Amino acid sequence: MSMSKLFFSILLFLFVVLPACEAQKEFVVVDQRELLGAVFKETTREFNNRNGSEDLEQNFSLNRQFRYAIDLKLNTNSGLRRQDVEERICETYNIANCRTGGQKQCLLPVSVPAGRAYAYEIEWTEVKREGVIREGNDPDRGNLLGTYTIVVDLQCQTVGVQVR
Amino acid sequence: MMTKRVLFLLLIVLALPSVAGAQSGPTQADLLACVPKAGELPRFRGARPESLVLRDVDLLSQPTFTSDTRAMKLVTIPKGARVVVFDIDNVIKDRNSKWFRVLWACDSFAFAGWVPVSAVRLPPIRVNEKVAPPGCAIPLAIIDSIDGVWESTYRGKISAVIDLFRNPTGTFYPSAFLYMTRNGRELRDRDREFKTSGPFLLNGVVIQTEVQRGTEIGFTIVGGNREPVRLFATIYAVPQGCEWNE
Repeated sequence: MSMSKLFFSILLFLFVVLPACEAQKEFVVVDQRELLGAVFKETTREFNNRNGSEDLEQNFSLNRQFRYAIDLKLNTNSGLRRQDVEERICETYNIANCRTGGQKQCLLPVSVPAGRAYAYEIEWTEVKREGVIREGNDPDRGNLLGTYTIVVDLQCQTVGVQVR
Repeated sequence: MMTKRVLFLLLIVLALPSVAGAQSGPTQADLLACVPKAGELPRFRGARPESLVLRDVDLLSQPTFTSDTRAMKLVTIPKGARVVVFDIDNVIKDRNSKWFRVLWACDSFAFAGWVPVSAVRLPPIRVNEKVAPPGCAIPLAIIDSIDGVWESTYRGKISAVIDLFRNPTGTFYPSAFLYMTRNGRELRDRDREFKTSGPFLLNGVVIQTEVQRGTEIGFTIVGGNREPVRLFATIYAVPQGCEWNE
């Protein structure tokens, strides 16, 4: 074997084979509980029923985009690649579009009495899942390799009306 | 610790669908006083629309989908009252045969339970679906304040359906956790977080645990602020073979 081939083989081992071996380390994502994340507020447009003779009742659709933000804390000696773990976390929650983010639609029941105009105060809250990364396949026994939270959804609710 | 402001309702196991009544609670005059006058502003600053009750209707612990459902009558809501409709059941496909989960709240009392959609003026299409308590679950008691405690008459698995809310202030209620307590100790893996500037802190959350006869079940809040909150919980026995998950 020539020196150049030997050198190439060493490089291949160092930069392709070794990292690949390391990435094959078994780990399991263990979901533990739900938490709430950031809260965002917004006010809808005005629903005008000043000239109405009956209650105005309709559904109003709101949309908001969000990121499946992952906060992953791996132990320094975990031996895991961050990207592998993040992908597995997304799989755990059946999130196919983890990198592009999600969109939440919320139906707001609007009910404005005759002679009034309302604008609605809306609150969006991130819904997170919290869990741990364990070594091996057993979610109860493996060594703790890290912890994580991931934003999996948004919830919305009306928190008040502005009477105008 | 003995019960504070607990309405303890024994379920009399009869074949009739609605069998239990409150031993104490609001008087008939209290109930009628809770019917709003024309032009009154919404109770919760309009955070959720209040819908008109079209006839006197029994508020039940669960929909009566089958004849062997032993629902508990919580209260009779008078015609003309206004209720907050939270959800519609996910069981019956015909939306006109369905049930609404509602909150009927006044200054001095509140009840949460299920009524037929025909009793409320609200198009069922406008309401989100929710898993209703199954007919096999047996209502045991209600707890109507955060300080309330129920002493179990049952041995086995129980479910509690809980609504937590407050009078609207517009202030932000910082992150807090609601825990079920068993003999005064928090069940650490049964917490529910909430934080909001709205009046509805938790709606219809289900927490389950195992109890013995004499076990005291209650609730507590960890974190947040010391602002007064209102709680209404219905506790059900979940016999073996009865499927109901949190």
